[in-house]
Amino acid sequence: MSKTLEEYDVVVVGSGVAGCTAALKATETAEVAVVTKASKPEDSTTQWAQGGVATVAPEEDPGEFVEDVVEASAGEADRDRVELLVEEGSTAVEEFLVEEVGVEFDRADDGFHRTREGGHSHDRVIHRGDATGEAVHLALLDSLDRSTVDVYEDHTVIDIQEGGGVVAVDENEEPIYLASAATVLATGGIGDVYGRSTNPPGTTGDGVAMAALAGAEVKDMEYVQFHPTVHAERGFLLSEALRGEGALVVDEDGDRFLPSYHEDAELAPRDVVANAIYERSFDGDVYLDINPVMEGLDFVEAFPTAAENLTEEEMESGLVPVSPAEHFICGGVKVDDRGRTTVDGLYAAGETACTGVHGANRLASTSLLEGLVWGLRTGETAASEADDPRRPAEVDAFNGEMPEGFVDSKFTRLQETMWRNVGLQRSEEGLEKARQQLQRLRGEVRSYARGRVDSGLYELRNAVLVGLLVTEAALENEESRGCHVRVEA
Amino acid sequence: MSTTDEPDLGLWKYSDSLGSLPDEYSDLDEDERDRRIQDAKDELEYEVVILGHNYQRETVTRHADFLGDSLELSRRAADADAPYVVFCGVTFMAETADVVTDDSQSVILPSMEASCPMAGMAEDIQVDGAWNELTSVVPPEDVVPVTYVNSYASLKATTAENGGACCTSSNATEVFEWALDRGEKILFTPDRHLADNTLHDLGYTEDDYVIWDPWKPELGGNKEEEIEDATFLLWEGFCQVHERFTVEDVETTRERDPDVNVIVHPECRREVVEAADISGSTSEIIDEVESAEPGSSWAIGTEIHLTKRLARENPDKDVYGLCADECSDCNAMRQIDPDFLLYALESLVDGDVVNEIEVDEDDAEKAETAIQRMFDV
Repeated sequence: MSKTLEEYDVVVVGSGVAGCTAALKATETAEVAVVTKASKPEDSTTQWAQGGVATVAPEEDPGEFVEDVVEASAGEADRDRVELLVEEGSTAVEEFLVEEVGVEFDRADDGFHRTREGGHSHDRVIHRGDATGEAVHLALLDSLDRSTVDVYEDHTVIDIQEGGGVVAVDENEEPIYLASAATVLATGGIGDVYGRSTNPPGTTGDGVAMAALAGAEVKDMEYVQFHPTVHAERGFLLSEALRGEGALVVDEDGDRFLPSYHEDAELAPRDVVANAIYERSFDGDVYLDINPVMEGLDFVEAFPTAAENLTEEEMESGLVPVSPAEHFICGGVKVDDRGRTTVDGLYAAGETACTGVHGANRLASTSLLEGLVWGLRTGETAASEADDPRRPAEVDAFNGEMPEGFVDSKFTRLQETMWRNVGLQRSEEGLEKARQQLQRLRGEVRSYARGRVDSGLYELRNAVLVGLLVTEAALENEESRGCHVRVEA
Repeated sequence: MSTTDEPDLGLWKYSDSLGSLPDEYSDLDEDERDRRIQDAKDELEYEVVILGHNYQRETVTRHADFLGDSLELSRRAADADAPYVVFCGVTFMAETADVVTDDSQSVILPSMEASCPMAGMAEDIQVDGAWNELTSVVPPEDVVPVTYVNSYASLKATTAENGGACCTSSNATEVFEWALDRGEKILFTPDRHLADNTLHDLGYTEDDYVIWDPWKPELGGNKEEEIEDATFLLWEGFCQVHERFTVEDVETTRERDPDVNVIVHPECRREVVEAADISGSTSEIIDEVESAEPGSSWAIGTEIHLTKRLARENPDKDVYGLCADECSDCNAMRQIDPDFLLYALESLVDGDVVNEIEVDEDDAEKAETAIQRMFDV
């Protein structure tokens, strides 16, 4: 077995906004490595963030922003943490993102250009066109390139060890070993647990799963946000503005069904639309009929992003397969105000972490912000608390046989189970069923994972465990709140 | 290497019980745990019967009322009057027990994560898909499905629906003959090695079968004429423990111990079975070793916990594993540990039935048909 052993004070797992930020902060005082599955920027969810970064608007009192976050959270957010997010958000953007990293946000005469999004009582959202995530992410990656941080791209971390040390596999599935004193998990969300997701492929909840396996507490796992209308096969968002301009939601026979759900039909509140499409999705495909939009205006001019993402066939027929899709997990690895998990030497930031700011639902344009604020705090804390790097134990793999299609087929099984039983609507019966199926699946998968080194298998192990954690949290919480909706079977 | 010690084979240091075992049951002292298990058994008396599969670890089997293979144990469950059957084995075994016991009995699997990956290699939806594809090429009446008992109940049900039967590793030859009287082809799920070994015993060769790989896009990776020509269609599944034994293991064992008798399970690869002296089901392995001459030497090619038990129970013979302990340790069986057993039992004392295995009624009825056909052969 080939072995590489490098020593670092801090190893950061993941290269989205939280991982990059933590690494850049930590490298000011420590030896740092970033280990990431990503081989290109598009592999990170950060790259795809469309909204922006919300900070306190010039005309408002910070308390108003705090109130909006707490209200969106269905009252479940930790107010102290939200205050911290709001207070440090502006400085983090101005001093770190703009001055150090060099992100160029859109400007107005008297400062940033700010837009308003749902749930915000002021124009707070600073942005770079409609591709803020990309602008922020590319600038962070560029800073990382210029820094002293060692970046291991296309490396999947398969094991984190107590008190430090990580085992990863490289692009050739060979294990490498990194000794570390502090490990920061910033692996993003859990899109692949559901399959239908706005996250890029590969978001398998690795950080949450590995932290849980290492004994760290997880929190609020039942609070999973779903986006109402996403392309059912390719995962990109189909703006609600399309329905505003006359697009209709139809079933396989071309019949509308929203009128039977709500008098406003296609213009009903987003959760009504999402739940209606979700329920219909078990009977067959659901489509967005954009023909009425194309009759009324120049589609390509009015919706350039959608037009670019649709196939010729879809543009011609005017029928686009749609579905709700997993978007963001509000819970995650429980951390304190400095990103410390409940396990010594282990830290988490970004979507992987549960800082308590989102409670039961997340306010728009606060995820990059959270990654940034806690990325800085966590990077600083991990670097200052790092003592002697510890060597990870070697993985003893005998690499027995595994059928080639095993991982893919079990991912499909996981996703079917999660979508049907732990999706937008959750019944006790469905959740119990899901738990049983996932426990069985977990046992099967672990039998292989015990003796093999294989990144796909470990991603599956992680995704199944995360699915189980979401299911168990959803079972335990019998009350519908925020994005957790319990129903009668 | 000691043959009597319980092997410590965990390759990963993390607790296996994440989320499914209440905290108060982890880290119990062994004596206290044993005492509490005994107390719970005493309290429950005839209300509970504890079944221990041959592959379970000793710290579990010491509490079992009966030891055996999956089918023997299911029969014990059916014969017992106990309303609670605690099955220390894997999911499909507990399902079989639920199928054969009556409705008033509850079958409990101490850990719900004890699931056999081989059973998971042939899920009913995959096999249904394969059946539809297969019978679009050959008439359905020409194909008789045979399913190893090491499979989920839903697959046994599908097998019965399509006119087939179950088999075990000790009666596979008879069931194959039965099936060939009824049709021209056998679709065998999920263990390709057991099928391969059985059809060789019947005088067939590798020219008579094709492998159906459910993860390949068309006809399990076969051409239409290959399907038409084949007598046996073997599902691409295997036991990851038995699959690990190699011819090299047999050779190095013989070099070290020239008088050794090598006995392996028919879930091993064909070439390993050929290289061995004897092959047989777990019951046959137990019988062979127990009836052997004192002083004889036995290398066992099956799950390590059975080997360890045989070594303990036959101190007058030299009994050891055909490969290193950790290569023949079944992770699924390992999920049942005494902590889980205690949790299940104490819950019963409190009136809580935890981790009950309930097979869908319709599936159970059909699965029972497939099992009954096997007994009728």
